[in-house]
Amino acid sequence: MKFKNYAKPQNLAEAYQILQNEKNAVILGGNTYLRLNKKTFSTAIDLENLGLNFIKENDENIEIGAYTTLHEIETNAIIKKYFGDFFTKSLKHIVGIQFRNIATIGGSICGKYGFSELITALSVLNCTLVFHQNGVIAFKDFIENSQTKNDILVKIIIPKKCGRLSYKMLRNADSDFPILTVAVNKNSQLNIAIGSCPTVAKLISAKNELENISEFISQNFTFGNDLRATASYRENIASVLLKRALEETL
Amino acid sequence: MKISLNINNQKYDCQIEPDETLLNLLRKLGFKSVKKGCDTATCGVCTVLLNENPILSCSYLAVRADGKNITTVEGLGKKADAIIDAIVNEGADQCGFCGPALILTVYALQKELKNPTMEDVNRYLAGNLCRCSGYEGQLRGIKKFLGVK
Amino acid sequence: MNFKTVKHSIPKVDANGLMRGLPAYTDDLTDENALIIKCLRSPHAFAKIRSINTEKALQLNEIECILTHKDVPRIPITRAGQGYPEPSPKDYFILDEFVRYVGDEVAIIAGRSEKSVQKAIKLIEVDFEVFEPVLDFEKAENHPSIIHPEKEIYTMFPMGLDAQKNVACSYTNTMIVGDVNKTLAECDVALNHRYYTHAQQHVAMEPHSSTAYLDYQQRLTIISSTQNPYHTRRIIGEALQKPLRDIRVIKPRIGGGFGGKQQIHNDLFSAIVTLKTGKPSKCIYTRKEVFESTFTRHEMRFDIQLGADKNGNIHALDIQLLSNTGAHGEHALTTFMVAGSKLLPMYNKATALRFEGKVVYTNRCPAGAYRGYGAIQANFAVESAIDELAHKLQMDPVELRLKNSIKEGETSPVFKVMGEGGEGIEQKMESCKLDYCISRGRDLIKWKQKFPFLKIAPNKIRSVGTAIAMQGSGIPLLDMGSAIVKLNDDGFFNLLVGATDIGTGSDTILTQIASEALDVPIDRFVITSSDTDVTPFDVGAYASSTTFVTGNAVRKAAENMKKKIIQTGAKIWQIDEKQITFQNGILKSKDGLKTITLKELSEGLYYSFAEDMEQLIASGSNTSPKSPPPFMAGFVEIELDTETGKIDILDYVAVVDCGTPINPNLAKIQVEGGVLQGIGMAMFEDVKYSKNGRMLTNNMMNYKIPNRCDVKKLTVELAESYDPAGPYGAKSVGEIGIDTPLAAIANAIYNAVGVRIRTLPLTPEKILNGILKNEKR
Ligand SMILES: Cc1cc2nc3c(=O)[nH]c(=O)nc-3n(C[C@H](O)[C@H](O)[C@H](O)COP(=O)(O)OP(=O)(O)OC[C@H]3O[C@@H](n4cnc5c(N)ncnc54)[C@H](O)[C@@H]3O)c2cc1C
Repeated sequence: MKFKNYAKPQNLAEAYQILQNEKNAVILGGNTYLRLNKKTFSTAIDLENLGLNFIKENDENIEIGAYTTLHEIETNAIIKKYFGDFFTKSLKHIVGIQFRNIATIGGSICGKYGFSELITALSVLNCTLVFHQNGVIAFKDFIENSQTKNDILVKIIIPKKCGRLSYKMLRNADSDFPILTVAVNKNSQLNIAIGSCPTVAKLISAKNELENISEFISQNFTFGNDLRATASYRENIASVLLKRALEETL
Repeated sequence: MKISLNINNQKYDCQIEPDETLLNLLRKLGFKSVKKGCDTATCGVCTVLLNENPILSCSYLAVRADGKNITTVEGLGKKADAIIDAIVNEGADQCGFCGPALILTVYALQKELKNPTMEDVNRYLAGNLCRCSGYEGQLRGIKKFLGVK
Repeated sequence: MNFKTVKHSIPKVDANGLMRGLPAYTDDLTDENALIIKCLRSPHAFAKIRSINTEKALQLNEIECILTHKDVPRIPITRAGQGYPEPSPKDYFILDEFVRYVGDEVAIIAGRSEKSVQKAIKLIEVDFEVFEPVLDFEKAENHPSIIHPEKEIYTMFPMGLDAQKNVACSYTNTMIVGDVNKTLAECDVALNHRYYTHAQQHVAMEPHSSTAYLDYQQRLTIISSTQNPYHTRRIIGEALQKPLRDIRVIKPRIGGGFGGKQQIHNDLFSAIVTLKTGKPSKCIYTRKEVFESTFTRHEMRFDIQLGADKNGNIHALDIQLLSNTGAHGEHALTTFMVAGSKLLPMYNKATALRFEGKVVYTNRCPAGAYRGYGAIQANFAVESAIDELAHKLQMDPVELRLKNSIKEGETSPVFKVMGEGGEGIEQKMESCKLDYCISRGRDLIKWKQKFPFLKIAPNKIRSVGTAIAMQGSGIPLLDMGSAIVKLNDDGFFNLLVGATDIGTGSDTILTQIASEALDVPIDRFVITSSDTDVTPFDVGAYASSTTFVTGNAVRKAAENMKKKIIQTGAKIWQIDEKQITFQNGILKSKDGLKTITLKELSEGLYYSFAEDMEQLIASGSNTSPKSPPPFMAGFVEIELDTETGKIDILDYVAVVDCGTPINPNLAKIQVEGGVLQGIGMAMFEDVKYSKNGRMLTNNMMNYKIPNRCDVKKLTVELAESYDPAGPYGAKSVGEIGIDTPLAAIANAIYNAVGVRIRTLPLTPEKILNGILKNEKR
């Protein structure tokens, strides 16, 4: 990735202004994925001074600032308290500590990468995203409709109340992108997300216990081929991983 | 652009391009312990410490280091001795290209993890790739160094 | 045997500087003002350059030079760093009007900044005539597209090059022992299967790097991440039509090689740019260039016929091989031959043996040397087939191997019939602890408790698998190494060797050998290696040769030095040489009356002995009529998830006979590193292409090498062994570790779930498909 100017705005309004005024400006997360981009951008906007690096707890929710790093999320006591090792499991294979010390949750969400494990995990938690201009958007809406181009993700709000959680994935090499990811949140209803299809995670909420897992999968999810696996293999293991995830939430 | 940063406890005023990486700047300044290996944030040989935390200097922009503290293996000085000995005594240094980054990450690990298991150690160091050693020899040394059972 | 320095695990002599990150590698040593070199590379798998226009690019401010095929000498060479005359077709030009794979060089651009060079690359206009590429190596022979239509290409001796048919070399009707068809027909049990091994990438952590400058005498100096500086000097001289006296090649520290730096790549570009501009230049490859535009391992197809009687005596083995050398034929013939010569002798009881086949060109990334070098590919095919045979015979595969494998004191007719590139040399196994390696490995993995499998959960099975391997120790009577030992004032020595430490620790073990032979403490030596102006000749780091070949040269040089020191004592003391001992660095008369330390001796020699003042310097060179094979037994324990096909490697046991390990720690790590590279190839390393021949796995994000969580445990043991031909009993250890994992893991998968995978890599998807297919039956 290349860019011509660097901006380090002091507040969100200023950052947003630059994003609107300059054609071809870009927001910097940890620059871990962005750096692979072949484009030359006009201005790179650094969010470091906007106070978006936080993990906070209030009565109902946990709020994570968009500039919080993946390693902070992995190791944070509040997150552990409410979600156990659910997040750790979805993050620990991503490259290495030196990578997760710079990659941010904002960049992980806004990239909408098909392989994103964090998106699979967040998908089942009924969270909402807060954007500077577009305001509050349900996580699912954000993933499914991309209406937020040229906006800045400010924070992620995750309700503390959640059911039993499980995260499962399958990858060949330990630090490779996953071949498939599955997350389950079992509360009064069942939230099931499957990602790395290889397209981005999709959330399906089911009311009752699933009667036939493979039918549920073939009805609700479509799989494709890529370097790592074929569609039919993905479909096969989706049933297996989902079955295991459901067992874990019993 | 002008930035000023601390590298190994010394202040440096530098003229940089806005999109220059920290890796590039450090090598230009003569910190050759910081290596360029993969161009895709994958291999870990460019690892440096930013305020004591290991980061990939290939992805971290130099301009972001303005006003911050960077440590490379050159800056660890005597603090690196015991870690280096641990690896070298197993012969696990091999070609050495990934060595300085590994030393820094082990140093950070020791500060960050309390009573780690070997599994924790492996996970913490997973981003430090090595193609020569098969890792086993490195781990023998690191295990002894950390006193992991 | 008791040694003072040898067989001791001392730290590497270069360890401290490297671990502290001191400037040591090529890119650390480049001139600040070196011109940056990049290449414009082909987007097409096969095309001809109709026209190329560099005018606009040349107009850019900081651009110093742009070279196209019209601007460089047109001399057919091979980039393979091998013995001379080279056993590889001379089918490469520095730049050519044809481009033969995606990533092939179209033009060389040099400028004063990287940005300007990148800009210039975009401004070069090329008109390509695009041809249908040959991408499938099974369809390469007689394909309508001819990859090397040019007239000039040739081979230095006959090897079956038939460029019109896309055949780089062929080998038939030579390696035949007994009557294979007849013997097979007489066997109680016979099988015939086809196996495929895929390309693999070396992924040394340091990308290929080269820098060049003219010294004040106008001599071209190249600092290069090469495994073979002398071959590099010779090939550069040939390609650029320069006498070798005008070229100096220096190898600094190297960030890993594994065969990937055994040929020349960017050295040609830095050399020619510096010669054209008179300025220092550097060409440091990006990782993408390393992937797309250096070399891979040869992809191969094996047809194996194997026959035995019902008691498990193997009588016949037939190997028909097709190998893919990509766009150029570097190492095409020799990797091919090693597939036979480093495998067939292992089953020396068979009376009927045949090994034949061809190597074809395709429009893919060229293939070249890679640790294992043909032997690893053949190992997958044959060691899989051996297990298939064991299954048919209802025999324990370990027993089958114990029964049929080569033993100490035995030989094989294959040694004589085939070597590397031509005929071989007869050899008797003076050291061979393969049977020990097998039975020791069997105990370490607890084979008897675990074979074939244990079900540990409804969907988890643990199983074991094995494979055995042999390699060589240098190429007999072709590989040559040498050493110089020089005494300095203050009583320390320079050890000068041409051998090339690429991170293996060869500088260290060579110093250990010198110290042992001279009986002088190791800290009295300073080693300098691999500088063509300074150090003596050596073929370089390949064919598992350094310890065995150069090690013996160092030993000879050091022994010669010892003689000279004693002679000097005799001269200055005026007594007979026989009355003098030299031990632990001290010269003494046997009657104990006279003693002189090396420090005093050297001071005398260089400052005060008047007429007797003399520089003490000794040399030794070595080549060997033997290449004693190291042997290894590999045993793996896996855990297989029967619902997903995913496998975990729980333990990999390697028991290795490498003769005396000069430095046991370093020897062990050579094996551990090799085993893990083999496991990577077995499980997930794979070079994949798009339909039109673009490499899809051209970065480390999509081409995965193992990290430290991929394998739970490696258990390496070295067998007690001593080969009289090696220095202090040593054989090689650099390659042997990589050979067995492919078949051992495939065999373990079969033992777990009855799924036989004959096409690498062993992905979860293939395993699950096999399980599902078996269920349907
Ligand atoms: C080698 C490699 C391996 C990987 N392996 C895995 C893996 O196994 N599993 C997995 O889940 N992921 C994996 N990833 C993806 C990784 O998680 C992402 O690279 C990372 O999450 C991106 O975070 P970042 O902060 O660096 O974002 P950046 O790269 O900086 O940005 C990504 C995108 O988000 C935009 N953006 C960033 N912040 C904001 C914001 N606040 N508002 C609006 N837009 C914003 C940027 O403009 C950019 O378009 C891998 C990546 C790499 C390079």
